[in-house]
Amino acid sequence: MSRVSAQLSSLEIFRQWYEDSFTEFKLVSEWKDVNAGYALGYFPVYFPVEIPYSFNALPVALYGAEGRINLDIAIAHTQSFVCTICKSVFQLGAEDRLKAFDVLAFSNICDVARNLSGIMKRNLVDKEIVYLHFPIHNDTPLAIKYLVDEYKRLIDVLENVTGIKYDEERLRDSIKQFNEKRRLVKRLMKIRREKPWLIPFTEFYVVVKAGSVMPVEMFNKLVSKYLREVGSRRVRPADRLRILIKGNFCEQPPLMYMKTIEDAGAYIIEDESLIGQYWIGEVDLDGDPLVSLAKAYVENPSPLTVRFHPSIDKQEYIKREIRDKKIEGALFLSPKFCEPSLYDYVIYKKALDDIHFPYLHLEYEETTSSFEHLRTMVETFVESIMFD
Amino acid sequence: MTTSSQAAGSKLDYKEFDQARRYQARLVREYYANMYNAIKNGAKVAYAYVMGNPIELLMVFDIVPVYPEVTSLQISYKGGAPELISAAEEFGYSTDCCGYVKMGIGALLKGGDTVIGKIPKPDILFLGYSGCQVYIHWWEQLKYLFKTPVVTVDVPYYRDFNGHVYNHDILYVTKQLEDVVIPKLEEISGKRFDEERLKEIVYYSREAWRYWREALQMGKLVPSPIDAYFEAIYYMSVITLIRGTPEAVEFYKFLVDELRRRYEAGVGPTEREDFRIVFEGVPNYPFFKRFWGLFKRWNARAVASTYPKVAGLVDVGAFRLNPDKPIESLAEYMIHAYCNWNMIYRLRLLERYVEEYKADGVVIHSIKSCRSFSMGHGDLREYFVKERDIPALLIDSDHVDPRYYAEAQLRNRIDAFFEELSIRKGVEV
Repeated sequence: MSRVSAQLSSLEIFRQWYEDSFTEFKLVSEWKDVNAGYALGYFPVYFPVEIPYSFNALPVALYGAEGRINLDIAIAHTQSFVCTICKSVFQLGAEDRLKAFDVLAFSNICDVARNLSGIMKRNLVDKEIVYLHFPIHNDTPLAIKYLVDEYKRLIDVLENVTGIKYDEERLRDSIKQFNEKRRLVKRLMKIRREKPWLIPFTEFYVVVKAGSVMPVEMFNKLVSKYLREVGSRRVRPADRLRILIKGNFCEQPPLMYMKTIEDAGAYIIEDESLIGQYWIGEVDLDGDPLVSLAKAYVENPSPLTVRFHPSIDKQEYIKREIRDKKIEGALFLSPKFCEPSLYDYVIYKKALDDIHFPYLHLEYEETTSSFEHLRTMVETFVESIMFD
Repeated sequence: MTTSSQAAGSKLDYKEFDQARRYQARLVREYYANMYNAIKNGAKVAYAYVMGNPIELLMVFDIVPVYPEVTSLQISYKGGAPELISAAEEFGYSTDCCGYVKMGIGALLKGGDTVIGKIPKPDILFLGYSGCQVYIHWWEQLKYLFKTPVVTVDVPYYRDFNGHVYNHDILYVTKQLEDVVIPKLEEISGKRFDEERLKEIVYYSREAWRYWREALQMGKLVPSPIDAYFEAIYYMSVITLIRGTPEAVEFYKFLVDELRRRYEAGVGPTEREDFRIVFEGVPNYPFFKRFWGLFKRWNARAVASTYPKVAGLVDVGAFRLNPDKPIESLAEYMIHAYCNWNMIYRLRLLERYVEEYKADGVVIHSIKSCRSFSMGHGDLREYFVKERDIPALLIDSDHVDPRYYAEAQLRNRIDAFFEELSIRKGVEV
């Protein structure tokens, strides 16, 4: 932490990293300089961040540019009917804004992300690009073995880029740090579930998004401090609807979009916007850490839209979530043209129809800049439930 | 630009040289008749996908494959898409979801009744995840809607930019076929796995692929006796639906012979061959013939294309089925579906086609429904035009949804492209 940062509140530091995480990545470069380190940028949703971190490479989620840059180059290279995050990440590369990253990583979350890996390679010839195939045959032990082999391939790439040899102990330490990070994020989520008035969603989002960029030890230290600050807050609860949001797991809605939802009379009890930051949960520290990481992915009992798991029942899961989290209404937020989100919407919608549970489906882009229509829609939705 | 043999050929009756298309139509009708018969006699129905599909394994267990991608395109070709798409959209699917998916689900929501007949319901969903992420979502929808069991084969993306297929990829696919898929098919069908039968089926598949490859490579001839896009789309139905049979082998032998006869007689799918193009992308099925007509009127022949190889990139030797190692070679085959290749390799393939087939330019037809095919088409165009000085045209519509076909706009773009090509090539039009 720099001397200037030390005088700032934890929230102010989170904001600095948050602001840096869209188009600048100056703090990433600074970290590299100070630590003689490297950086790996990954396209959402999930990435085994513990592995690059054990090679002294800062893992950074590339969640798009939130409408902060013109997408003119990307528009020429991609079709009009593909999502905006793909365009903005391409544009960042084309404008040389990803120079802080030694490696860029993609995976099989959707057809767009798959093809984007090759397009990035063609346009950023000298950039090391790695593509991980996450297994979909996740109800067989073959998937774990396969994913371990994929992680070994990632290790080969990182050894080449950093010149550092793989060390099992370093990976275990890294897992320990990220386990702690996920525990802290889950504590924040618990507060949002139990006393959502204590942490506005926008603040929660800034903290967790900052955590998708900043070094994990720094994040853990700052969140512990932030939690103490939150604990001393005296805020009166408001009469708002408790809602659950699904579908926004990759391309991010602008922060103002989420603020508008809360301002329209809702508490966002849980959403999927940064799900990749905590979904993997607690990774086992015993045994081969690569096997532990692979198992945590393959055997994770929570659904993740971009991971097909034949044995998981998403419909039962959402019904349970609604019951356990005392949810009063659901919002489905789909990024424009995002097929995974649009298909899951129909699966979840059917479950909610069966129990006559209220929901609303909305579409957005990371470049959305007008929120009045959204406010009207959500206000109407909230009122229709509250005054029913 | 017209050769003497072409001029003479143009006076011949083209119908006489267009028998393979009728032949394939007959085989497709027989395929459906056999399918309905088998179902009547108690056979299990598996929904399967076209790309990278080890259909040979299902055949061993006498499980009847139904390809919703194929039924959707056939329904669309016959003008039956709108009502199925509407049914799916009313159910909750977005306009931005794949048209094939909406048609497939729409057909089931309407009890299977379509303009091409009754589409049977599946007993199992065979998920060969090769080349298309939407494959997963489509079957997942059906799994939730109808409680149909899914049999999965996870096929890793051909993702190395240096042309490597990783050993663990082939092992993984092979092990899934051996350890999971075969036992599941045994359980579903109540039949034991018969390796000898698989070897025989794989042998017939290999032979069919061999002659199909020969037919496709005849696009290298000048003039080309085949439109390796629009005509090949008809011919590909045999490799997709009935490979693994002696009938498929006979068909492709017949096709090769017909193409040879065409070349010798100097006839081809257009009056002359003024332009040789490489075609990338999925066609527009609701207006297929009109769409083809936009190219025919310029005497443009596709000499090579990618779409007819979605079932397998046989023409460039990406895979070779081996009856002695049937499962391993099927595993390798599954990795080499066209859309399972990364964009660098897809680009290199198109580049290779332009060179080896002496093409004048590249036409890229991008469709809204399919991001797997279309994401990156803009980048391909940029590469050909700006880095290789190869004329490239990028147009878009959809493969099944007629709402996205704007013929006047397409025609303007296509005409402008060929006018420019005419000047470049010195062709009088």
